Amino acid sequence: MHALFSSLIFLVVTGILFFVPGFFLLRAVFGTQKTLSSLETFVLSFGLSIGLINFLMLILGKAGVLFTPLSLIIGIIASLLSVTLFASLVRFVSKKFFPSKKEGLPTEKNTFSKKQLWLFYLLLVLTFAIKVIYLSHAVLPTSTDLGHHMYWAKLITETGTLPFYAEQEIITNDAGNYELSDPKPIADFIIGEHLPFSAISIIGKSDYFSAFPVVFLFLVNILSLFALIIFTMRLASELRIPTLSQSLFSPQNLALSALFLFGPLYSLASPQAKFVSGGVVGNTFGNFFIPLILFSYYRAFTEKRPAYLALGFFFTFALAYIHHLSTLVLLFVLIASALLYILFNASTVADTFIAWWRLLFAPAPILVILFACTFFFGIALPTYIETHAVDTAIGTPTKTTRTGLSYLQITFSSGEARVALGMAGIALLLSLAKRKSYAGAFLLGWSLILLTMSLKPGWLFLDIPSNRIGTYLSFPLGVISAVALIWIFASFKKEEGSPKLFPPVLILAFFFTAFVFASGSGSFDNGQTLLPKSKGLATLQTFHAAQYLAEHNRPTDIILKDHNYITGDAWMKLFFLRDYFYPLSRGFFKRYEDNPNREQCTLLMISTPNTPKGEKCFAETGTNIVVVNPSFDGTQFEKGNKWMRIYTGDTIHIYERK
Amino acid sequence: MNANKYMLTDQRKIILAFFVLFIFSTIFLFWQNEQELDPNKNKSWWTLSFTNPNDETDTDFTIENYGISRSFTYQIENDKKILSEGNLTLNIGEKQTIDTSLDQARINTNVPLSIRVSSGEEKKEIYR
Repeated sequence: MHALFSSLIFLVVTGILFFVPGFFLLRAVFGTQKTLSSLETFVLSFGLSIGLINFLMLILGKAGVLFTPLSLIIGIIASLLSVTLFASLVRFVSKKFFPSKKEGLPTEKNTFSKKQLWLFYLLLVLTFAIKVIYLSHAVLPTSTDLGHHMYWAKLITETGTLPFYAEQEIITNDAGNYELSDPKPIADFIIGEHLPFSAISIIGKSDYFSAFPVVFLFLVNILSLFALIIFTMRLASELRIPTLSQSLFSPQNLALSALFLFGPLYSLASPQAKFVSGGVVGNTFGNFFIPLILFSYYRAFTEKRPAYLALGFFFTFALAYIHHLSTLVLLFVLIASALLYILFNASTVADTFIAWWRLLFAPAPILVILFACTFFFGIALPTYIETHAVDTAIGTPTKTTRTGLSYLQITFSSGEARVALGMAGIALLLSLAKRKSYAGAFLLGWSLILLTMSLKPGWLFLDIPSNRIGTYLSFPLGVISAVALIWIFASFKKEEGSPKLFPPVLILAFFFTAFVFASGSGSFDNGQTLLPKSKGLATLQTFHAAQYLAEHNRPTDIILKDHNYITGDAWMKLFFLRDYFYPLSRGFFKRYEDNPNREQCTLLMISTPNTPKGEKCFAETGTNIVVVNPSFDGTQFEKGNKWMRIYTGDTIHIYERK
Repeated sequence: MNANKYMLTDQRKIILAFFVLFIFSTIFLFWQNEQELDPNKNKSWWTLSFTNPNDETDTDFTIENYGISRSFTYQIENDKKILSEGNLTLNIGEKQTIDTSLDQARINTNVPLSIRVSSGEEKKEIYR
């Protein structure tokens, strides 16, 4: 019953926070114009709401207003009212001084046939089923990254204020002694990836150890699929080839093709459900916002509508406060798309610039830019700007993990079927006149720049782990694959009255081969990712031990735990909320080997606690409690005069230094 | 009033399908999480700990039982002497603190004082 109640509360709060504000904002911006389809309104509402909630909480936090259910709800209502009034004024001014012929243009009628609709349902059910079965084994709060993120989200919830992203560390002082430093700023986290979780927890009183963080990320992940679908559907009109079957190359079939390639296939591996269970929060948000931003810019340029440009600016600005890497990737994609468009349309470059200038010089985009500048310089900078993290991402690659992936690695990370079809699609698009269209420029810009960033990052002076960039590639390759698949299908069928190009048996054989290849590759990938068994018992014991320590925690206690053999240890810090570095942690052994300059105390204090070096670390850092898995690390603390075993469970022992 | 405005178009049907699927998925995942984090559900384990770890002279200890076995026996030993022993029964989900009330004069503080608890074939020990 408790789970049912908690899940219903979560659903209601999520709806109120992350759909309603965006929906009203869209209504305020677009009025009664029917330029957005229902699916587009649905997906855009979610993106707008995330941006709105993040900016609202940043403003409240900087103004010194404590986050409470009341302050958040009043803030949402007040901001919606003011934005609605303001947007109405802007629309009035726009109508009067910047009349647009496009006003009131009806949206494309995307009516599905019965068969298409049922196929959509089937693919959607399959997508949900595969992801949910996987997540049912991963819904426990065990993932390290999610634990790190939820520490900050819980800190915001508990304190009602914006956090200062900093942590202590073990340093060697001038006298050669080890000590715990004062908290130092860290650039790994960005406020916008934590505020949505905090908002849910503040208003719904949701427990961070419940399924809510994973389910919310799952929602973002599924909506990123819908963002890809609405973008792909809009590409149909520009990418339609007159000689191919018009009835087959339809937005509906493109939507089905995209859903097939992003839904049931490859639905578990990175960046899909695995990112959800792994708590890769920023990337998951980034993968939702990037197609949404490209959708907005695409519609702005093709339909010459400044409102969409304003929408694109708002989403871009919102993403900048959520995830740095996604923002960087997006900037590269936009620059590449713009350059390709100019290159392919070199003869009309002057007209292009005039059209872009007219689009930009309109009230809505200018107001969003003004809001962004005011917010950026007057209210809050993204933390990665404050900590100069950008400098560490730009430059000649410094490690072998940053010098690029091989083609085989890309095939593995993006999926064989998507890479094969995607490459065919890129080649086809480059050879067709369609490359000159905005659809061609966006698709080619998106995929080619990510291919370059993944294969040869040095060419672009990027110093970022290549496998992280590689996870972004599956999206453009998937979209191009979806288009290529429908192009190929449409090429088999001529319009009514025309002679058939290929015999039906050959068409059937191709369909079957393509289906088996894509399904086989995609489902093999899913099979590789499924988790073998539940970690419930081990996790429960970790949390029980953490609760015991938290109940008896003294300000002088310094706790050290092991990250190698304790399940869900990253979540222990949520029981204390003392510091991001508390309890101290013995990290993966490889990290100490790879980086000799890394402090060694956390390793020595567990691995060799009774050696002179280990003793020195204990004495100088003040560490007095150690939490280990007895199957791997118990022996070195067993009987003697130095250690007391104060707690014992099957997978956890707690030792206190005398 | 335009009746078509509120018509269930194909895209609205898809959104409805999404919501239905998402609601069921959410309820299932919350339920699954609760089952996994329920210490009594399909799991068998117990813990032994000092009740007051911050007081080195306090030997009271706590047993929390989430296991199938319900009977526990304990022994408090110091310097190869049994200072106290006893039995207790703990139901699943039950927690009990044992007040040892040891005579401090009988304890040799130069050697560890051990508390050993066994239940079925499992044994656990804490010491200080």
